[in-house]
Amino acid sequence: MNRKTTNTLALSIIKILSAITIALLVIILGYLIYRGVWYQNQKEGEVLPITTSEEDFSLYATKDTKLSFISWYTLFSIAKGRERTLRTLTQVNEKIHFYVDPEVKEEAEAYLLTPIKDTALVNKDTTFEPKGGIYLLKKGKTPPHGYTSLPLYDTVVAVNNSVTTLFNNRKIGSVTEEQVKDLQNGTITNWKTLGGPDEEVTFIDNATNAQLQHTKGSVSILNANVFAEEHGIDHLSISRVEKGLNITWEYLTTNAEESGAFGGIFSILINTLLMILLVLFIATPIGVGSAIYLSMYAKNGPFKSLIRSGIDVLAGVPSIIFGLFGMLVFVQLFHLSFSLISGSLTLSLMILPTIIRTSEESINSVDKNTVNASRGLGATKIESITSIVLPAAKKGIITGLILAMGRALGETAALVFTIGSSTNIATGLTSSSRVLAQHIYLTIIEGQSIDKAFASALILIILELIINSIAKKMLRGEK
Amino acid sequence: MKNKSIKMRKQIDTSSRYFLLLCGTISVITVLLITIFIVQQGIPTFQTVSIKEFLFSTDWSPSKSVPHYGVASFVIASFEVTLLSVIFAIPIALSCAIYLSEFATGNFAKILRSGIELLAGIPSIIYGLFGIAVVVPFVRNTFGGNGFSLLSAAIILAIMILPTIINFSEVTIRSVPRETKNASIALGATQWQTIKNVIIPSSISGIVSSIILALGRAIGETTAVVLVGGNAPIFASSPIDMGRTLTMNIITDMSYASGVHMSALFATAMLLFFFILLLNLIVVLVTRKGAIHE
Amino acid sequence: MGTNLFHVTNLNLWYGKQQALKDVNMEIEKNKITAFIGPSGCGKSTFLRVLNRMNDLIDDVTITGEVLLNQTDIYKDVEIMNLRRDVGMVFQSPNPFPMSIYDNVAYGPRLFKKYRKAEMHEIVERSLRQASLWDEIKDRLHTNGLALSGGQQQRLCLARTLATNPQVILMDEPTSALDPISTSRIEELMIELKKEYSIVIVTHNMQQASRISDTTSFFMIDHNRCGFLVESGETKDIFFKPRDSRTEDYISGKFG
Repeated sequence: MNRKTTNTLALSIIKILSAITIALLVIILGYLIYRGVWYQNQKEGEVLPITTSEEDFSLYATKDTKLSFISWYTLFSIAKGRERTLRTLTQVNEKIHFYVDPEVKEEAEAYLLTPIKDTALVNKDTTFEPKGGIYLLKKGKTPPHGYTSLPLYDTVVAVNNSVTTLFNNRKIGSVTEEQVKDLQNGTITNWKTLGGPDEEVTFIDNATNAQLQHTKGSVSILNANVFAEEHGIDHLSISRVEKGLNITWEYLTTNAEESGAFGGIFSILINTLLMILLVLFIATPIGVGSAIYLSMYAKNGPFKSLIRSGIDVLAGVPSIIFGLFGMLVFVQLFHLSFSLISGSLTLSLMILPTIIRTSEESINSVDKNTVNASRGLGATKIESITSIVLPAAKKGIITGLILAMGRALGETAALVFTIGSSTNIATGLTSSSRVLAQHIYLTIIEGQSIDKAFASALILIILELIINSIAKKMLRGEK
Repeated sequence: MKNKSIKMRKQIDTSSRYFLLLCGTISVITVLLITIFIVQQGIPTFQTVSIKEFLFSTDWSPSKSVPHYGVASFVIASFEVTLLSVIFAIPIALSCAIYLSEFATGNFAKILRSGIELLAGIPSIIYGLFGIAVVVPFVRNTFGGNGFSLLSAAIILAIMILPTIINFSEVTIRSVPRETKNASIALGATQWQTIKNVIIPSSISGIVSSIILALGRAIGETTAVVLVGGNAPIFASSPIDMGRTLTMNIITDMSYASGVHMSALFATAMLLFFFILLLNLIVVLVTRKGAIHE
Repeated sequence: MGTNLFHVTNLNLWYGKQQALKDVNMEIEKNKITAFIGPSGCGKSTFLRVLNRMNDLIDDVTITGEVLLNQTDIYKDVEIMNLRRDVGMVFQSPNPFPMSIYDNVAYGPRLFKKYRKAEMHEIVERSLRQASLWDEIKDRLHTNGLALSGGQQQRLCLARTLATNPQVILMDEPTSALDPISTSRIEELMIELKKEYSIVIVTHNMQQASRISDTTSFFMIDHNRCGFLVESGETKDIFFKPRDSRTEDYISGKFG
């Protein structure tokens, strides 16, 4: 291979490998945006997502319940008093207030196969709760303000027991609505297509119990309350995909509840803001002060080199060790306990080297002749620094501070053992509190919804991008 | 007209001197305090556990009736993960550094630079999250095992240390004098030959420094690796096994440890700190040696 | 005969172990322009800085001898900040502060007193007029001082010094960075200013010294790289009838 081809080849490889960096960035950001903005979960349920609407009543619910439909089984549990909160249904931390229109009481009881408690019946004195309300109302009547209608799904795919038995280590899983339609119209003829036993599909319209029990491979669509009374037959689970927006305005503005299992992240965002302000307040004087000292006071010699080495070593200390240090000194020794202030102090130490380096660079770039002129007019050294040097170095120092805050925003390991973990808004410096990056970590570790983790992660990334672009704009303004 | 007191102005000047001196020394004081506190908490371990067992035994079982505190598996895991990550990162990072210094003004170079800045700005927790969602399944499907592994940790770390290696290497490569490059070109060498035979050898000490710096960052990383590494406190015989690094050990056990267990965790921190200081020292030596040769 | 402003006796100065000035004895007269001339490195700027104690800003400087300003020892009995208000300095490269013209001039006075707006404006206008800059910039007082031309900047630095109402103005090669036109403007200014102030100027430019100064002091450097004063006297004497042959050699250009 001659030199020219080697050259072209080598340069191409270099370009391709460099392009991989961009590709990685695009993949990571793209994936984060995708998972952060939308969630898509597969859920399994008992009922088909179709309405038969033969009853004389309709269902209404308040918007906060986040219910998009109600299944017969859910309604049954609510009426029986077994389901009292929306937590397991839609992850909303709200009690269920169940109302029934007395005009349809008998019909409802027959429909649900369970008596309806008198406490649920609506009378002229009933006040409708604005949250967590579910109302079973006669058709045609207008529901109270804030209640929107809810589809009622009450059909079940009933099958002969042979369909759901374990056969050669295969068992039929859940089926989609599409697949049920295919069973109905004869597209799927054998259960093994769906992962079940090798048995012919026999679809019977409105089958009786006897029919289902005696015909192997038989399937029918029954009403849930009919199915509930039968024995000796089984049903298929229906899988559906639940999609939605992960990040909503509501998510951003609601406080976190129950350690982040429910609610939004507003309280966490507030805590994060408080922490950043505290860190800024603590680290700026020390960092800029160190920079001024190094640039304008310290004489070249062993002491100055020692300080520089100290800064370099400090910059290399891993964040987990800062966390341990913070725990030993601030939490335990200073008795500040796991709190906002302990975490902020720890982080301030961690970002000191960043602030010192950028500030020193800016201060060094100021023309020192002006300082001489100031001294010549009778000003003290500190007067000259504050009137001449700092204003001139302002832009660079502020840019450095912004970048340091960006680092503090993304930090987790140093905070885990210092700042506490409460999701409530911090009421004072010594409140245990949780901040955004740390919250993402705890959400994952504690096994909470990973969709929430992605939503928080997207917000964190957006904040970091905003901070970085502000810093960049300031640097450009300097030139 | 109100007179400003000269006495007060002088007092402000003097006290500001002391304040600024104090600020200047805080970094050094903090480093000293960190060392003292960590060592103070870690040393008591060795009243119960022999140094030999701590350093060389792979048995870490603090909850057994006869507890053992051997961190050898974690040391090996830490090194495995960091070395792998550096191996993965070097080809890409060096290519970027070379590209940026040779083609500095092109459009792609500008995009590349912004991209590297963005990568550097992503917090480690987000890398960890991405790792769980994308890298772990990828490793599981491609290499087997359960996905949570030292390999996944190495992959994520490799991406995280790219900016470090690129930035430092680029500075070194740029500092090769133009006359040297020109001399090579004038003799008829191609760009690649110049890069391979002149530029890289001249900047080798800077490149090596950047790699060692990256090693230091990687070995100290906690958040990202704890989420994808598997965290099994046993010896990981292959990279696709679940493993635990020194940092993972500290963050995982510290929340519930007490007594000797806790001291052992601080001893782990001492060991980690020692390795990082060692790496920093090597960087200083390498840069000094490089400076002498140049 | 003018009264003596500065009375310097046996002044010696060391930078660390290296002696830079040896046994300087000098009288500086009031309301006159005194020029320091001599080859590079002979310590004339260093000596200038002795007069307003700017050498104190450098580490490891030792000074012995006596420097009297109006019969008071400036190294013992005078508050430094007051000294620098009374003894102003203009530097070689114009160095206006990165602030408005107004703030540049107001800077010095503001260090010492809080002024009401009207008073401050009066001082700023007076100083800028004396520095012959007022007419050029009177309608843009609040623009940045760095936006001026080189010559204007140096006049701004002069105005800045004049604002504190000093007795003496020290000038360290004030026109060496300027073009000839700006240079002659500053020279005219100096001649005008000496009616009210005393001026000491360090200059490399012998023609300048002979043009504008009343008194000239000639410094030289010895083989130990230490500066010393060869002779001082009325300018026309130094230039046309120097007492010392070394002075004559320097003036006639044989070295330097």
